[in-house]
Amino acid sequence: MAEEPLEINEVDLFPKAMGATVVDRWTLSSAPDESRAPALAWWPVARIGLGLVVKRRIFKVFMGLGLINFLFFSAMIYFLAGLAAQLKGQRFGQGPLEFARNFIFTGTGESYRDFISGQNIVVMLLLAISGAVLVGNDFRFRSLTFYFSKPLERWQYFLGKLVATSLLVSMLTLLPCLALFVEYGLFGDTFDYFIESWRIFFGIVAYGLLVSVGMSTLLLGVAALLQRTISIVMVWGLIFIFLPIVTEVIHEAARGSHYWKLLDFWSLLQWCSNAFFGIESSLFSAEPWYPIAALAAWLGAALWAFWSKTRAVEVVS
Amino acid sequence: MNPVSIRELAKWYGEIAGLNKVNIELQTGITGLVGPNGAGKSTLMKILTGQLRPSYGEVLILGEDVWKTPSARRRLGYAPEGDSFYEDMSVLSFVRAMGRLCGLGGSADAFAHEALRQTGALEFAGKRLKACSKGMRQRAKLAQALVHKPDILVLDEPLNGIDAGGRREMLRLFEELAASGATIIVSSHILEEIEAVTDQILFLAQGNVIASGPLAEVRGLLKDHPLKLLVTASDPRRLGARLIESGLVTGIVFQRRRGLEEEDLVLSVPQVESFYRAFPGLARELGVVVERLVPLDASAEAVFGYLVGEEMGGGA
Repeated sequence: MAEEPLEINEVDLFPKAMGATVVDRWTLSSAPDESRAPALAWWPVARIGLGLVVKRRIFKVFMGLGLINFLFFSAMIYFLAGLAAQLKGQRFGQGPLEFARNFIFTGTGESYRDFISGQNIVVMLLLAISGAVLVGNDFRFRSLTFYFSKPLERWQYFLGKLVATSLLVSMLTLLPCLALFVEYGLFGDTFDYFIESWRIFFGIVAYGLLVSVGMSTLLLGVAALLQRTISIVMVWGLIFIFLPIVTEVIHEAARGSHYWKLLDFWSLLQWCSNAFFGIESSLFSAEPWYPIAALAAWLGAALWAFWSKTRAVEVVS
Repeated sequence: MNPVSIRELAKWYGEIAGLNKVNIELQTGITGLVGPNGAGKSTLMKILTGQLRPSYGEVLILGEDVWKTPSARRRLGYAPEGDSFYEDMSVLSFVRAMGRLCGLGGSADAFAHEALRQTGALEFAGKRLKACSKGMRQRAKLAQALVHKPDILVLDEPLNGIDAGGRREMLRLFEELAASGATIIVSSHILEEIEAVTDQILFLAQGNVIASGPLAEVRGLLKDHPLKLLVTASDPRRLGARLIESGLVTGIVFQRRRGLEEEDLVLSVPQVESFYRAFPGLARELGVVVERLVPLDASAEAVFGYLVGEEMGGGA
C-alpha cells in the first residue's frame, strides 16, 4: 500500500473512520496485538455469562431476596452491638441481651453456616432459572460454534462458565457471609475476634467456595444435559427437594441408617460445612470418606455430563 | 508457506466418511467452496476452524496445526451458517464479546466498531440481535469474524438472507479484503456470486475434492462434456459445415431466434483451446462475420452439475 496507515485512536475512531474511502483492515488500523494472555481465555466466557444473567429481572429478584436475609442478619448484629454499648456497665437488661445474642446471631460457626445454608435456597432457585441462559442455550441453539472457533479450549470454556456461575453464587453466599463476619468483629470491644475466630473464617471461605463451585458444577452438568429451563427446573427440584424427602423417609424406615443420606446433596453439603467449621455432627462420623466420595461422585457425574455433551456437539455436527 | 495447508485430511462419523483424504493448498485471495448437501463442506469448515478433530491428517493455518494449537485460531475468522447467539445482546455487545474471545482486551470496543462499519452494521449496532432481520444478523456475524483482523476468513453461506444491494457490498468487501492479503474461503449455494468474485473454486462431493482450481481450467478438463458455444454469424449454415469438416466440433444445433428467420449455432466443442485458436482464421477464410460467441455451460453451476454427475457415475 502506498498510503501511510491511518492512526486511529480508540476514542476518535468514528470521525476518522468516516473519512476513509477504502475498507482495508491493514490501513484503517493495524491488526491488534494479543492483549490478553492465552491462559486467561476463559475470562471473556465468564464475562459473557455474567452479563447475560445480571441483566435479567429474575436475577434482581433473587438478589433482592438474598439481600433481605443478609440485611436482617446485618441489622441484628448492629442492633445487638448498639444495645450492648447502651447497657454497658448496667446490670439491668444484660440477661435479655445475652438471650437475644444467643437466639439471633451468636458469631459462632453455626450462625455463619446457617446463614449460608439459608442463602442456599435462594441460590438453588436462581441457578434453576439461570441454567438455560448460562449453559443450556449454548448447546440447544448451537452457539458453541462461536466459542470453539475462537482460540479457546474446551476446558477454558468450562472454566469460564464455572467462574461465572460461582461468582453469582458467591454474591449470595460467600461475600455477604464474609461481610457479616467483618461486621461482627468490628462491633466487638477488641479485634481479638478476628484472631480467635480463624477457624470460622476458614469455614466461611471453604464452605462458601464449596457451595459456589459445587452447585455450579452440578448446574453445568444438568444444564448441558437438559438444556431447557423447564427440564432443568424439574431435575433441580428432584435433586434438592424430592431426593432429600425420599432419603429422609428411607432413613427413618431403615432405622436411622445414615447411608441413604449419601444420596442427598444437601446432607453432603451440611456434613462438609460442619467439618469446615469444626462443628460436632453425628452424621457419617464413623466413615468420613463416605460423604467425600459421594460428593465427588455427584460432581464427577456432572463433569462427565458436561464433557460428553461438549463432545457430542462434535459428533452431531 | 501457504496460508492454509490441508494434508491427507479425513473425518469419519462412525462408518460414514465426512471427508476422505483431502489435500488442498490454499493461496491468498478468495476460494469458493461448492458442493451439494452432505458433500463435506461444513465438516471441512469446522475442521478448518478447529471445532472438529480430524480422524486423520492435519490442517495447518500459517504453519500451525489448528486442532493441536488453539492459539492458531487467532489468525482465523469464522462466520458459521447458523446465527444463534444470545438474543438479548446488542449487535455491538455481540461483536465486542467475540473480539474479547479472540484475545482483544481494552481495544475490543474500538475494533468492534471498526468491524461493524466495514460490514455496514454500524447503523444498527445498538439493536438487540432478536430484533435484527436475517440480513442484519448476517452482517453482525460477518463483523464478529472480522473483529480481530484475521489473516484467514472462513465464511459459511455469508450471503444468505442479504438483499441484492447488500450482496454486492459484501462481495466488494471480500474482494477488498482479499486484495489486501487475506485468504477467504467462502461457501455459497449461489454459485454465480462466488464466480463473480473468484475463479478459484473447490468442488466437493461425497467427502472428496472432485475438482479445484480456476473455473475455466476445470471446465476445460471435462472431456466428456464438450463445451457448448452459442455463435451468431452472418452465414451460420456455411460456417457450421466448415466447422464439422474441420473436426473442431462434434455437434451442431441450429437454433432459430424467436420471431426471426436468422439462426444461431450451438456448437459442441471438445478441445476448447484448439477451437479458440483455429476459429478466427476459419471465419476469416469463409468471409463470415461473427457477431457473438458465448459459452453456454462454462458457469460454475454447469461445471458443478457435470462434475457431480461424473462423481455419481452418470454423466450429463
